[in-house]
Amino acid sequence: MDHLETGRLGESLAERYFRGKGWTILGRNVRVKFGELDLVALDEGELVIVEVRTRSIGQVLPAEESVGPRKLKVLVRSGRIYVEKCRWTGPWRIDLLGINLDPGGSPELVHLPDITAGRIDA
Amino acid sequence: MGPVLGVTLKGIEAIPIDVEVEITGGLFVIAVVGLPDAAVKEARERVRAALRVNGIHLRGRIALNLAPADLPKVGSLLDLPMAVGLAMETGAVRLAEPALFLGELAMDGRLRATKGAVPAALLARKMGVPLYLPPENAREVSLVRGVKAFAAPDLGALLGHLAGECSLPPVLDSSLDPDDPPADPDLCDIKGQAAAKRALEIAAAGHHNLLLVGSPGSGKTMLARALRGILPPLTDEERLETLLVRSTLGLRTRPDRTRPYRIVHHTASTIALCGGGSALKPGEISLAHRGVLFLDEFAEFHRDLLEALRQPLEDGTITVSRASGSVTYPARVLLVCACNPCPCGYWGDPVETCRCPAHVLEKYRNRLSGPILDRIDLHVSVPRLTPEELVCLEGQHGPSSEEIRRKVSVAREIQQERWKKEGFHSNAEIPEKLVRTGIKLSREVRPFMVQAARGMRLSGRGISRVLKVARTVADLRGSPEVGVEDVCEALAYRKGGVTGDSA
Amino acid sequence: MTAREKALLTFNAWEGFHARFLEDWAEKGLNPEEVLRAGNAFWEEIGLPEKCRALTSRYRDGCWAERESEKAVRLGVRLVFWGNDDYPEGLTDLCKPPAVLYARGNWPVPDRMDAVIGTRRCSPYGSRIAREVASRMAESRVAVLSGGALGIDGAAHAGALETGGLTVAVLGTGVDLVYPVEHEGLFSRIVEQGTLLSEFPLSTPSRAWRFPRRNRLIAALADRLVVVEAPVKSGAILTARIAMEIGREIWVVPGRIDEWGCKGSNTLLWDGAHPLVDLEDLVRVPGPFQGELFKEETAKESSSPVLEALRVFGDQTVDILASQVKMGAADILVELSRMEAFGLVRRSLSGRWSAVLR
Repeated sequence: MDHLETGRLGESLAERYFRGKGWTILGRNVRVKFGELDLVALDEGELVIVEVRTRSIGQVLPAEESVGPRKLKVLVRSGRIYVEKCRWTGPWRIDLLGINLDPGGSPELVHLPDITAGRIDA
Repeated sequence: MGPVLGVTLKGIEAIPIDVEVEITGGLFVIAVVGLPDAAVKEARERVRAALRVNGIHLRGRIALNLAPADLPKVGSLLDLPMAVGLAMETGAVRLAEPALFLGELAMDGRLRATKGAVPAALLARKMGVPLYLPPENAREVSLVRGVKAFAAPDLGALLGHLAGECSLPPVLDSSLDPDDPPADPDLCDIKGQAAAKRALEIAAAGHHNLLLVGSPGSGKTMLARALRGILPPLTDEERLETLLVRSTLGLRTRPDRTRPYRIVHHTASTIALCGGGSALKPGEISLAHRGVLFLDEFAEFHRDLLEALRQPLEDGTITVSRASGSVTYPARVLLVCACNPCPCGYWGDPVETCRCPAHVLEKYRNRLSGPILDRIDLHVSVPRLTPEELVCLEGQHGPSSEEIRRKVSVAREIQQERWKKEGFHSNAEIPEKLVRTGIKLSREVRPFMVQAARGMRLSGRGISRVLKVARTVADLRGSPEVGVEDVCEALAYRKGGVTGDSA
Repeated sequence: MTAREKALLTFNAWEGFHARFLEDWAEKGLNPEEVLRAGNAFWEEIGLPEKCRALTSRYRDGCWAERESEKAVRLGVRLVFWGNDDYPEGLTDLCKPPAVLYARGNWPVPDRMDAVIGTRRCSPYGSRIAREVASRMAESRVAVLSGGALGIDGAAHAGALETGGLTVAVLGTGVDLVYPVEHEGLFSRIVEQGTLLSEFPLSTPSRAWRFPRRNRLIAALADRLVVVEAPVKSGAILTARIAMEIGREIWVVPGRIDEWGCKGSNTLLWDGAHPLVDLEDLVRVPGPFQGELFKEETAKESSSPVLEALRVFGDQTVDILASQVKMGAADILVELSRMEAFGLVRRSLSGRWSAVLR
């Protein structure tokens, strides 16, 4: 499978996962000025922007460790722009969902809420 | 000031910190103003985790303001008030009236013991607000009267109490146990040395500084240790003072009236002895406040270290400064110094001969003289007894430490009563002005002092010291007036009596 | 007036004269009256210079000494001679002590005198301190010695007088003159509450060279000297150096280092003078014990078992004494101290006492 396909598979898995948690999905692959938001959802009144990372097992870095500081900065900036555009005045945060695909078995989902850890970054 | 209050420590004083919280929409962030960054990082994790355990999830843009912002603060003390402030803002609790919160939070919500509980209790009492604190600090706070304090085992219990759902146990006033000083060695176990033992008695009774000079093996260190067993008990006020110092360092204290006894080795750093460091902590001399500070091998101490003792010996406090500010700690100690009479140790010994050349002896003497020894009221020679003398004293036992302690305590009570209106506790603390006017002398004392001053080459300072000691001697015998025999005995312990210089 | 005194008075009129001459003559078996009688040729032989011989000759023949003595009596001036009992002991430390002293006012002067000296052109601070130092000395019953000059000297005398103490002024003129004129009132008060001293004959006027000479008297009469403020080249520094040479204790009041007037006194600190930073350091016997100061308590020597024990057994510690005389340690210490105050016992080795041998 090429990486585009893995990506798309990952996003579907993600959507299903969050619906299962009772979140309201607001959008997928939302385009904003400087980037793209993989998934936007609502978790009990808090807006969540989810970055979905899909990897095949056997690659060097597991999925959840593949967001570096620069990527994080971009996410924060994109998130801000989206929130302003929608005029969302409530609380919001950024989560990471790592999907490790195992060709033989079922995929492993690792959900890391609030990856800015309540800190101001960027 | 807002309802949620925390504290920070400046020396032994607690300063109230106002915790203001604002939560708005926006990217989840916890921003804290008024704490250095490293402390914020740690506090944030603890507070957030503790709240989460209690079902409070934080979200949105959270701003915590710890005012005043420019005061240096100890982060971990503020965990609890920050958590309560956040809980309030999210609507989980309400606070009817202002209250002081003190405690470090563990990630599971439990409250951890902190330092500074007693200063915080005094502040709460002054401000008239209740204090919430960890249960391990309750004991020390119970010794402070008139404080409304509650011990909270964890954040949940506290929040429940504030919400009116359950009740935290209040911290009840407790009284001090009587003192229980270790009498080891007991005075009656030390052979001979009646003069030195008498000097210990006088030192303990009047809180006078003491110098013991003797050859190795003369027993001076043993005598210094025996002092421990004859010190009078602490008064309530003194107890509170010592409690404040220990609480500032987060040390536990036995709730009894035993006076502190601290030993300092000559390799100690100035900071260890006097306090300081980046956190401006109190040192050994403050831990020995109202008690004994023992400097063994006094001649080995570095001059700088001794220089630092000047201020505390003069006015009973010590100020530690750094660029970030300065703090004053109490340091009213009974200084005990022990040293050899010369570098080889055997000057004046009846058996061994002193091997020191004259210039070495002179240099040693000069090191010993100086501002510190000038402030020591009692100077005692501890002779090394010859085998014959020891045999002669066989079977003779002096009074026990318990007996002496009783006399000392009575004498100290007299002083406390007498000097109460002047604001100090013992004869050693009598200020220069009061020495001339406040000590009642019998008529024969004056002419005798003239004779003695001439014959013994006493300086003005020397005479003041003699009078203070004489006042204690008179108190030990229960006399309201100082008589010639009291002065005579005091003269036996004057500076210069050991080395033969002028006093 | 005896013949000897007359001779001394006459010789003293020549300003180069001093007591060592008398000592030399005594060694040769000559007394002063003999020398005076002997005449010019003899005087040349024993080495008296031309000026001395001329003056002495004139005065001897003119019976100057009698007239001087009468004048002294009229003015209430007392004559003090080398070799008499009341000659001040301190002056014998000089290498050229005066043969005769003229004293106006109280006599004798006290044994203990402390000098306060300094510059004529002093700062207000210097003047105030000199006054305070002198006042404190007077409070502790020590006489204040100075030179009667303007500035520091005057302030010191005034300070002592104000406090009701004794003050002695050593002058560079005859004791019947007032120099400087501003000190007229001061000098008459000093005559009442102290003494004016001089080695110069009556009515000797003030000349520059006479002041260094009188400085040596101040140095020698003083027990201790306090220099308040003095520039580098000043009489006070000279006095201080003489005093140091004869072993007197010098104290200096530290002054501002940028002031010319303090440079000399500050430099003395280098040479071992004590800095005076607290008036109390000067005081040996404290204030409250005034009045009974010079009454002595008789030593209770007779019945002291402790003293007996020390005499019999030699050096002892308090412990052994306690077992020997069956007294408590505290009582023994009281007894030992009392005897120590009267010089009957002393401390010997560490922690031991011994009787003083008589």
